[in-house]
Amino acid sequence: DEREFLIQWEDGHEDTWELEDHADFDEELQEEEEHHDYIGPPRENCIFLIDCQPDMNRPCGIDDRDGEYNADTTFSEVAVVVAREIMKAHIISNSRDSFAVVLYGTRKSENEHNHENVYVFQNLDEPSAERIKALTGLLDSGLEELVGNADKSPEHLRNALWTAHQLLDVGSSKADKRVFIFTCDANPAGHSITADKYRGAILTRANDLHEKHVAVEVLPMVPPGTPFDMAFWSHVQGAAVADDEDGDAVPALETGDTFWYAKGLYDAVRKKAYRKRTSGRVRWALGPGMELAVALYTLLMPAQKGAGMWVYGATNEELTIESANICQDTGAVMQDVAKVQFPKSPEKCRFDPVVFPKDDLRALKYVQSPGLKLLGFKPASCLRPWHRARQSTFVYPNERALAGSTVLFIALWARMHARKVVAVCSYARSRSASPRLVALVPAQEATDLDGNQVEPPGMHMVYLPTKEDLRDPEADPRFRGDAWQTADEAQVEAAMAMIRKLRLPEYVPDAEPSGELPAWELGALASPMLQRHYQVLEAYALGEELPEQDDMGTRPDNVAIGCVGGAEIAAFREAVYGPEHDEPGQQGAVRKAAAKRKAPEPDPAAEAVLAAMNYKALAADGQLNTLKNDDLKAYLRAKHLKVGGKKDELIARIMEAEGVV
Amino acid sequence: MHKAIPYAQKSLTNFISSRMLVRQSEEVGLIMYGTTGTKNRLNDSDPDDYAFVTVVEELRCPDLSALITVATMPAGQGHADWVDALMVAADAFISAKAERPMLAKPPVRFVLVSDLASRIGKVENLEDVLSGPQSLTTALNEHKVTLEVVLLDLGPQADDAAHANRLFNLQWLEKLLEGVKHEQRSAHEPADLLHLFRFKDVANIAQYSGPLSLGGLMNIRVKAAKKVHSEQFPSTTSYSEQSNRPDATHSVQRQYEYKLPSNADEEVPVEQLKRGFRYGSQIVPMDEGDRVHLGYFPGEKALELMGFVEAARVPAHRYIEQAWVALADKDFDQSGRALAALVQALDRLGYAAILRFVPRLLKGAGSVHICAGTPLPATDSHPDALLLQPLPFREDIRDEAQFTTFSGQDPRLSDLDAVDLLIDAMDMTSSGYERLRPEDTLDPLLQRFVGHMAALAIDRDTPVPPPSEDPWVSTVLEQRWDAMPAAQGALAAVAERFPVASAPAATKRAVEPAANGEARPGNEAQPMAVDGAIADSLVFDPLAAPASRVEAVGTSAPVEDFEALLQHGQADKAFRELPVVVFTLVDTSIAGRNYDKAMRCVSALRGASVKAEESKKEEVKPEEDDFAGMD
Repeated sequence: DEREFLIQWEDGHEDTWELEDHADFDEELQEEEEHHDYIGPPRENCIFLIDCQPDMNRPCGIDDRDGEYNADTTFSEVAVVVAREIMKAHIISNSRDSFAVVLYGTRKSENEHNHENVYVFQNLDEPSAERIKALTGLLDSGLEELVGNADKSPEHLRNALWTAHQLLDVGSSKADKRVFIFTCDANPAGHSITADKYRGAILTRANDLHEKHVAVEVLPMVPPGTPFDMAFWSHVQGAAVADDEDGDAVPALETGDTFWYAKGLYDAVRKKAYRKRTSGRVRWALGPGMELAVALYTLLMPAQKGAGMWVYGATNEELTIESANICQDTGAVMQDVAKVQFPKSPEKCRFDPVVFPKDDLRALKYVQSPGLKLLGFKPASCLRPWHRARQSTFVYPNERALAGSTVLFIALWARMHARKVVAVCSYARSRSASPRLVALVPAQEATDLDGNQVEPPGMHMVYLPTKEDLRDPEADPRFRGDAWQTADEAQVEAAMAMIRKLRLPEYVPDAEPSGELPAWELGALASPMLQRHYQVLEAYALGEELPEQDDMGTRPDNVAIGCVGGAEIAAFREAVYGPEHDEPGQQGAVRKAAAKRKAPEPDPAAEAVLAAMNYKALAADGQLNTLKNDDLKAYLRAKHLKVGGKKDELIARIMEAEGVV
Repeated sequence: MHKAIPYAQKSLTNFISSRMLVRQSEEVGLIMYGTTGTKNRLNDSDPDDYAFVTVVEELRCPDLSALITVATMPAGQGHADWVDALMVAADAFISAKAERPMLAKPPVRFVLVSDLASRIGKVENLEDVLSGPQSLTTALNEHKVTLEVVLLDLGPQADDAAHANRLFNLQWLEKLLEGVKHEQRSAHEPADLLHLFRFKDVANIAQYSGPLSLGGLMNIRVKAAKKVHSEQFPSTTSYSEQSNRPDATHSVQRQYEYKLPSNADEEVPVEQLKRGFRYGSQIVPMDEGDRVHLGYFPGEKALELMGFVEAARVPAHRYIEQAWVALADKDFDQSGRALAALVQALDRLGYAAILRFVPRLLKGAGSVHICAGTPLPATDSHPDALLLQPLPFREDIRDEAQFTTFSGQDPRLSDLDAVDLLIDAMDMTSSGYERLRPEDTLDPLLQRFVGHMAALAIDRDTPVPPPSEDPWVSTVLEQRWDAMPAAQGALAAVAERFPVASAPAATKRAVEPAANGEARPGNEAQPMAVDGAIADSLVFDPLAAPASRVEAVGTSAPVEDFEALLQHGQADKAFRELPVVVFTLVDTSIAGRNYDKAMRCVSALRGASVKAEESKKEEVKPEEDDFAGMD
């Protein structure tokens, strides 16, 4: 575990050299990460266009589940909060993305090209602590205070789109470009006789963006339950959005409900801000000469804290690191290390070291060409919940690589699902990756009430552990004991009553208090470790006081648990512990020990324990430390002595009892 | 056993290597029985008994010579008597222990590897030998020996005598096992012997030992240990050949130089280095003292209930890290009852607990895991337990993009039969046991590596074996056509029904809903024979198609065999054999694994019976009841 720390703190430093050989697993993760980034667009340039016309000053009427805003926050402020949270999230996930915040429909104008009623609050740039702080400051001082609201005019949107176009023009041409428009206005062109003209003018600007492959997303800012007509906006969103990497259409938003209904605005935008990226494209060989093409997607990846780096103390400038292999015998720099030795530390074992060409190490590890190879099928019940060496990868057919792959994939998927079987394959990620066993598990598509896909159709690739990786504490007598307790029907019933009562409900926005526990949803909680790491960095960057640590909702709400299910827990406790035995723990242990102490008459079982091992001789030879703690404790128990304490203490107690000091 | 010797040899070679590398204080002895010659102490004192048992390696900490002995052990021609072998083993251990009391430290295990195909030599007094007061049982128990029996299945070539001998031996073996602490494992084919020993046996240590808190109102004392933990690949180190001096260390050190990007010639001295962390576009320098603040301080170690959810809300494909398992602390009976009740209740309701888990702290800092606690109900071998499966945090969820739905792209129903045939033909449980069960399968590459290191230790010029000749690679990572005789034919049928173009599709979405039965465009444009890869698939023998060569109803694809027989006018044979197969499937099923298949047979039989208007309907009924009873 020390090692985990080292990886987080010392990446790129010599300590990781120590780790490199061991950390195959982490290395693999890292490689996959790199691979992931390589395939996707290198970075993202993103512009938040926030409508500031007076209607946006209405309170949004909904409380954010994370407490970032409440029902009184105005729509324009909500938009700023969302922009800020997205930036924060990108600092954690992909800090090289750039963002701009542009307010339009403002009384004040501030932009390079003197467009009226457009206020560029932040130019396109990477997020930083200052920028986050500035957005918070904007909220504190009030938007109206700073920029004012101009009356509704179709010119505003046209100018805003034009500004966005110009901002994006200067950024990297390879970047993935997006514009998010936060507005409450379904018909920005208005109803005047010139509306058609304006409509055309706005769409011209939108088309300019589309031609530059800029994705435009409109986020309707209307109270939940209020319909929002997307007729005009769907043209602004245009065709550029409809084509992601695999040619899948991104479903157009139809009503304002979709948004607020889902999980709150931030989550909805975050969802849209992610783009589907393959983490690999491989062939799945069913047999010799018969294969189909699949693409792999990383739906889950443990997020890591940003690695540390070395900076020059005087200027905080990032340093470059050069490394060289030095022969310890001659002091010479070795351009190429051709041989390796095993084991690494021969002095620590009896295995005489062997030296062999480094290339042999590759030949030993990389034994298969990349791809999936079908080994056979098994009933899904063979795949136990713990048969997971790491998070799974999602597999989807890749028709573009081999035509016909989709139909064959679907055929396999459909029959595997119907017959409840999984496919066992060997899988090598790349030419320089060791193959391993995986199971492909068919997954059905699932949608939420609004028809949004929540589980994609395809297969989950489960990385199977091997016998070396699996442990069996539950079947190990030294861990589980030789005999164990079972529960009777009444006790199970009591537990069931408690479980039913303490069910965590699903998240429903605006839900009335229902006498239930707070809502819970998988993946909704932020990681307190990551958030704390960046929160502290932010404070240091701004020279501010360290804020209080936030547990991000990871602590159980014991007050609610007590209110909702206190009676059921008490009933369960009484069913299993009886009315007197309140807590097993110190108290219980004392009781047990006390009960034993009351029976000093010779006990044949204790005699047997003492006879089983020659404690006296071992104590005399100073060999007691060769015994397991359990054996030491057996002696102490048999002699009715104190059983607790560290091994040294146990030994000392036995030595004393045997008269050897 | 001769076929199995090379596999056992590889397995033992790696075992001995691992004992030289890790767990060095463990002593290993090797006794072979059925050897051509005889060499053991009991035989020395009693030359008429204990023949053909050879103590190949005395009990000791193994070294290179042991490695060589094992790697070169020959197959024998003598009579193999497992009772004699165990007696010699017990004698060897007892005499070694007399000299070295250190050996009293458990665990001691005897691993008996055999197919039990040759009958115990001396049957008189066998009862006494095995379980009398001076018997093997007494000796094993007295010295706290765990007897591990690895029972290799008799191969398909075994004759009746071998089967009879095995049955006879098994009766006596069972008698012995009744009285001693033992473990029993099966090796279904010789290659299974490759997977006998882990590289490292890791003790189960409680990472967390303390209360499982229910709302702060009730505690259950539990211990949690790792259920899955990836074994690391053994490490190597760089080696320098630059010096020939006898005292050369040959070691290589990696040295680092830190430079400013603006001045590539000058090295920055180490005293002027500072650690920095990126926050967006900013680099934030942190002194060592400040870096402590970057950690999260979760308070105490803890396992606390957040609430309960339906199991479907924590699907297995969302598990993010390796699992722990929590058991009631064995020192507290009442906790055992409480956890048992909780686990049973979760299991019955189909629920999971959501738990906050802080397994460890380092100077107060540490990680919090939000885990799904899923029930692992008690069996004969373990008590009720909770699996703790860490769930992702928001930052871990990478991609919520939408994927095109599959509906509307359904393949033709008639084509799906080919897929069903393939699934049956490649059924890894068709022989009545599960092949490549994770619990039984060692990491082939780790074993390949250790095996080669051992080979190098014996002879430093050994070349790396090509993967195709490496038994670990070829039996674990490669397709086992030998174990799936119908697979290639079934694959050819799938290839025919579902042609996959060899070249990339011309259009983005070449998939047409095939439900209308029309041929898909694009495939004609790319005839199969053009490309080498696809042309290969034509090598499949058309005669190998399953229907043409079915002569009996087998267990691997019974329904298909049955239907093939019907089609070929062998209805009588078909109706006679399928019910037998149903019984075979049910009888040989491990924990219901074959039941689905048997059920399919029953419905196929019923369907066919109805069709043929035969009077077999009555026969079908009782079978179904029987089947349900066994479930």
